[in-house]
Formats: sequence, structure tokens, C-alpha cells
Amino acid sequence: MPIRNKRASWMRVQVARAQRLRLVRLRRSHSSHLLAATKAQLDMSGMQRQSVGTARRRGPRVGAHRSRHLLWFTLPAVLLYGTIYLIPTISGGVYAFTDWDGLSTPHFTGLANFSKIFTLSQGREAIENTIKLAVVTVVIGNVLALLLALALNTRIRTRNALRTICLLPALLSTLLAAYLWQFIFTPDGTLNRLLSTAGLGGLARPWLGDPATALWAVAVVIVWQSIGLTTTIYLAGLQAIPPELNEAMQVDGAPALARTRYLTVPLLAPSITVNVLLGTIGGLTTFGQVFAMTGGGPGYASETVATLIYKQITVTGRMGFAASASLTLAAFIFAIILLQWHYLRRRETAMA
Amino acid sequence: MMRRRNASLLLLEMVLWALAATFLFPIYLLLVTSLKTPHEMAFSPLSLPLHPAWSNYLVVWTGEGGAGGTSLAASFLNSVMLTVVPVVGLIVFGAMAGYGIARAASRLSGGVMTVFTVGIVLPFQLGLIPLFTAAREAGLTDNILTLAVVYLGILMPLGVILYTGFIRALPISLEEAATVDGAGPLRVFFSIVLPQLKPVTATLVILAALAIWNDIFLPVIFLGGSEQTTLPIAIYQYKNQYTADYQIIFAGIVISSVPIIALFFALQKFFVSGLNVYQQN
Repeated sequence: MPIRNKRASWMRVQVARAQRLRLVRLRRSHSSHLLAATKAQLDMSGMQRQSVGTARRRGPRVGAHRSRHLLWFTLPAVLLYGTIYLIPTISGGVYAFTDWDGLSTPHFTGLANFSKIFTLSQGREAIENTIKLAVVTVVIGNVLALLLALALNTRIRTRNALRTICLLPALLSTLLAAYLWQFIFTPDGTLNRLLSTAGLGGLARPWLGDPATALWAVAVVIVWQSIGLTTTIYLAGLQAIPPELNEAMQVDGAPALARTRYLTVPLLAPSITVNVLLGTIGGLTTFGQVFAMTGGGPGYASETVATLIYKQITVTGRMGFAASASLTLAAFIFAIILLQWHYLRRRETAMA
Repeated sequence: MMRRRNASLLLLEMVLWALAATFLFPIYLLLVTSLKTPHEMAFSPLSLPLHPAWSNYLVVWTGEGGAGGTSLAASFLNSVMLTVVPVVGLIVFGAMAGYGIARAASRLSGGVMTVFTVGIVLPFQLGLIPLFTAAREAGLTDNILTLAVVYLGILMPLGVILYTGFIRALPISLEEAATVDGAGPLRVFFSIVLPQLKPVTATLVILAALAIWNDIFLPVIFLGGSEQTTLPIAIYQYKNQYTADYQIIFAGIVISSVPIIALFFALQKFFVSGLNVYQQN
């Protein structure tokens, strides 16, 4: 209640002050419309500039008063984010140490769930596959995207069309893109037909049904879909590099390759950080492609942690186990992000 | 010198278009297959359709003619609702929060920002299980609106971070002038700040709408086997029933992808500049 009164009195003071100032200004300008008045304030005569001078001097107090109230603007976002994201995440962390099945009272089981993840062959394979997928898609995706971005940052005429083409697959749902590629990868699908037409029928195989290739088929789809956004982020980073630097090196006689290696790529470090982080998070949480194309099979050859979690929630109902798998994934992602952040940031500052 | 440069650029351009053709081959396959009869699919799978079978689109849209009752028309509306509600919420609440964080000089605002940044980093799967069981106990699952609110909460960090970065870069003088003129904080926000946020809003709309429109993880969990489906889920259910009907499935994929692609092209020019704001944070 006292806070309320205090606020109300602040309000009154501010309103009175604003009204005084407004009266002064109204005498000079006939416009009473808010926007017109503010615009007028921006391009005003010497006389009026003086009146702003007084407003500026009062500024800090007005600002200090306003700042306290402005934080209330974050309230709806904080409430929504808190109830839907933060609180469930915290309680999920607690359930990870229980045998909760989603219905009955959970019992505390300590680290049993976690050791189960690493002893079950399904869990072990899921973790192994998830790491493999993340590493391969991030490395291949970023190298290709960087080359593409460099090529698209030249003065070729159709660069805008090519940039748009790059992004097209990113607009498809992962599920639907996966169906499209499933059609290509099935035993009598497009890829095997093309191979036999080219006389390479010996290479044909059930790409998604073969434990040796299923995971890599998934990786192809991930790179195909993600390369557009990765390239776009690199292009945005390239456009932020001042052209004078490149020109200066050119004048000094540095060949194009050296300019790229010693100027462009180091200056792209912030974009590399963003892309590697986004790619790692995306790769470690791969779900849609596996869910649609292989269902984690054959066996557990393409199971990922996310599909494992999904199966535990919907099929077996082992919520505690699923929570511990989620927590493991979250901790792992967090650790990797901290590591990459530390390492890449250091490179950024070292090179910039 | 100049001519050699142009020649190498032309060569680069040709190489890039060759790459683009390979890259787009699956999309070509998608389009031609969606217009083929089963007969044509078997005998000339790669060619352009001789007699375009537009009926594939009709079948998947209406759910008649052997499609097992799965109609995209109903799920289309669901998808639109499910995307529009959280995106509008993200714009209003995200911009408000961004304004609060960017303009409040209090020490707390840095803390609030950190809390939202944590949300970008942490995968939401961990919170998903308690959230889902709580919603199930309250009888709120199988409901499009519940899922819309879930998206709103999950995507809030993205919105807040984008808006905070953008508003920080805006000149404060307009807001100060309006305050001096007697406008309250709400008035300043809605008539001064909000109209300036169009570019970053376009970026947010693209990123959030893409994420929601194309998502399957949350719909399969929250909508489960209910009558309420989104476009990808309707296609998923159809695919489970008729595995080999690729021409129908592909027609469905085209239908469900066209709206989001159109939205992307409508807002594309803002996209790259908005991404830069995101990177700087």
C-alpha cells in the first residue's frame, strides 16, 4: 500500500510537470497531436531548443522514475515463460531422480535412471548416434555453408535468386522433408533407380533399412534443410565486414585466397559462433527426421536421445526415465555450449 | 584484367547453378510426383507429368476418394489458429518485455534478460514432461488453444531477445519527448515504440511461424490421437495408413508448405537485417 501511494504521488508530480511543460510548448506550437508534437521537437528553432534544454535537465529524474515502472512491462512475458518453461523445467529436473510413471506417486530412486541410460543398449546407442549426428552435421554443414556464402557474396548477377533457393528447404516441415527423402532412399526409390541407370546398381541398398547407412541418410536430410539458414547467417556476417579492409589488402597485393583466410574468416568469428551453437543444439535435439524416416531403426541404429524421450513418454510412460534422459541431454548441451562459447569467444577476441 | 574477372565470375555462377539444380532436385521430385497417377509414377518417375493428376490435390484436401477421411481442410484451419495466436502474443508480450528490459535502467533488467537467455540455451524437452502431465490432469490436452499457449511460453525467449536488442538500438529521444508531453508508459509504448518495431517483428514472425507451422514434436504429444490435427500431423496420420500413396502424400506436402513459403517471401526483405540483431546478442 505505501508503495502504491508513493507511486501515485510520483505520478502526480510527473503529470503536473508534464502539463507545465506542455503548456509552455503549446504556446509555441499549435499542434496538440502527440506525434506531431514530438516530431516538431526534433526539428525546432532556437527558442524551442531552449525549452528542451530544461526538459533534458529534468531528464534524469524523469528517467529514473520511469525505469522502475518500465520493468512491469516484462511481467506478462515473465509469467508465461515462467509457468510454461521455467517451472516445468525445474520440476522435470526433480522427476529425473524418481520412478514416476505420470500417474502414481513418484518414488525417489536416486541416480538409478541415469545409470540405466548408460547401461541400456538403447540409451547407449541413442547417445552415441546423437553425438555423431551433431558433429557430422555441424562440421559438414558449416564448411559447405561458409563456401556457399563466400561464393554468394561476390558480384554474380543471380546471387539473390541463388540465396533464396538456398533457403527453400528450410521452409519445409522436418517431417515433410523427411517423407520426401524417404521416397528417395527407399529400396525401390529414386536414388537406387538413378544408381542402376548409371550402371552403379551394385551400390544400391535399402539406405534407411541398413544399419550402416540409416544414420547418415538422416544426416543428409539435416544438412539439406539447415544449410540455407547457416548460409544466410554467414552472408549477414559477411555483409557486416567493411569492404575497405578487403580493398586495402588487395592494394597490398594479397591474393584472394589469403584475403579470405586471414581477413574474412577471422572477422566472421561471431557468425561462426552463432552457427556452430545453433547447429549443435539442433543436431543434439534431432527428432523429426528420425521419427519420420526410420523411427530410430533398424534396431536402434538411428535412435537419438529425442526419439528415445518421445518413446518413453508416449509408449512406455516411464516419465522419470524420460526426464532423466532429458536432463542428461540438457546438461550435455549446456556443457558443450559453455565450452564452445569459451573457446570461440576467445578466438573472436584474439582475432578481431 | 576486368574481362578475366568477369569470366571467372560467370564460371562461378554456372557452377553455383549446377549445384542449385542438384540441391533442388528433391523439390522437383516433390512437385512432379504430386501430379502423377500411380501408373505414371511406376513407369516414368522422374519425368514431368504428361497428364497432370490435379485430383491428387483434391483427394488430400477434401479427404474423399479413398483417402480414409483425412482431410487437410480441417487441419489447415487448426494450423492457422495454432500459428496466429502465439505469434500475436509473442509480438505484444515480447515487445513489451523487450521495451521494459531495454529502457529500464535498473539492475534487475540485466537479471531478467539473463533468465530469458537461459531459455534459448536449455532444451525444452525437460520441462515438457511435467507440463504435459499437468495439462493432462487438468484435461487441457487435445486442445489447440493449450498448445498455442505452450508455444507462446516456449518461444518467448526468442521474442524477448530479438526485441530487446532492437529497442536498445533505437534512439530514445522520441519516447522522452512523448513522456514530456504527458504520455504515460503504456501510451508511449503503443503509439511511439511499437510502430518502430516493424523490421524486427517481421523477423520474429518468420522464425516463430516457421517453428510452429512445421513442428511435429509438440503436436504429437499434446494432440496425440485426437481429432484435432495440424497439417503435418494430418499428413503423418495419412502416411501411417497409406504408406505407398506418395503422390497423395506429396500433394499434401505441397499444400501445407505453400502458406508458410508465401509468408516467408512476403517478409523476406526484413529477414537478414533482423538476423544481424539476433547475432549481436
